[in-house]
Amino acid sequence: MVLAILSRGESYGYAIVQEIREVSDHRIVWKDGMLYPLLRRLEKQGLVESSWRIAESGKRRRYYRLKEDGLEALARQREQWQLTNRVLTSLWEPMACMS
Amino acid sequence: MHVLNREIDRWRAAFERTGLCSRDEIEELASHFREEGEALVSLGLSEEEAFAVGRMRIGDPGELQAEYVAADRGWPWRRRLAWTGRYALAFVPAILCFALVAWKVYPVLEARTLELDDAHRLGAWGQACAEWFWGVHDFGLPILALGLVVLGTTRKPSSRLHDWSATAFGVVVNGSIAVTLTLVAIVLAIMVR
Repeated sequence: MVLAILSRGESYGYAIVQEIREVSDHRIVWKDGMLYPLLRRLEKQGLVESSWRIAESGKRRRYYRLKEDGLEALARQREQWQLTNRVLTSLWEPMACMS
Repeated sequence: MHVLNREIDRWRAAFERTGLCSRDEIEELASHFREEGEALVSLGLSEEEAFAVGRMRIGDPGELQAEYVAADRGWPWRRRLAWTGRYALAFVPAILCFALVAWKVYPVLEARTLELDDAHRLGAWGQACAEWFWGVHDFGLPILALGLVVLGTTRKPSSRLHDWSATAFGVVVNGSIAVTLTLVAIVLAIMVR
């Protein structure tokens, strides 16, 4: 999810948490602090990079950007999710008909 | 947002004192906390309520540290190495002064203290000082090195030692003591000549 959000452009922790809340219609609510160790792991894996900057509002924020390896990882994960989705949909369809 | 910012600053200072996460990470969490708090206040919560909700959403410092360590297993050891290095740095002036004593001053004291007549000239205090320098020369530096290794591998790093100003303070204090003792040794050596 984080890679997908960053594929649309650079962002920072608070905005990422808010976007996940809004896109999931408040059904996915993370404990905010837990996002940052995940971002650190993605950065260590070389999928994202970060830098501190002063935003236009004057607030100091750490912005994250997707790297080339991150885009490739996202493409691979997207394929896997789509395959999983197709498989589960075809498995559950008969159950839906029975009900 | 005076109350909210004050409470977040206190939360941040308490978090830093635990030494559980790096300053950079705590600053990022505090930045998030401020934005979350301001959003909650704009929704109608009081600043105290916004702080309480924001702190709960950020999570427990212990749990956060466990997650950071899981994300980067080598981080705790790099941090230990860094603070042990800074701790060692504080002893550099003392080590240099002891080396000077061992190199130039101690041989004079030792040569003289071996002779009974000159030993009388040194007096009880002079003898004691010569013995002390001998001890530092032969045992002090290896013990210092061993102590740093033990500190670096067993003790929980203190956030104070992350601070370069604390290291600079250590350099000044240790350096002052070492320079004073070295001057005493030089004076003693001159007296014996």
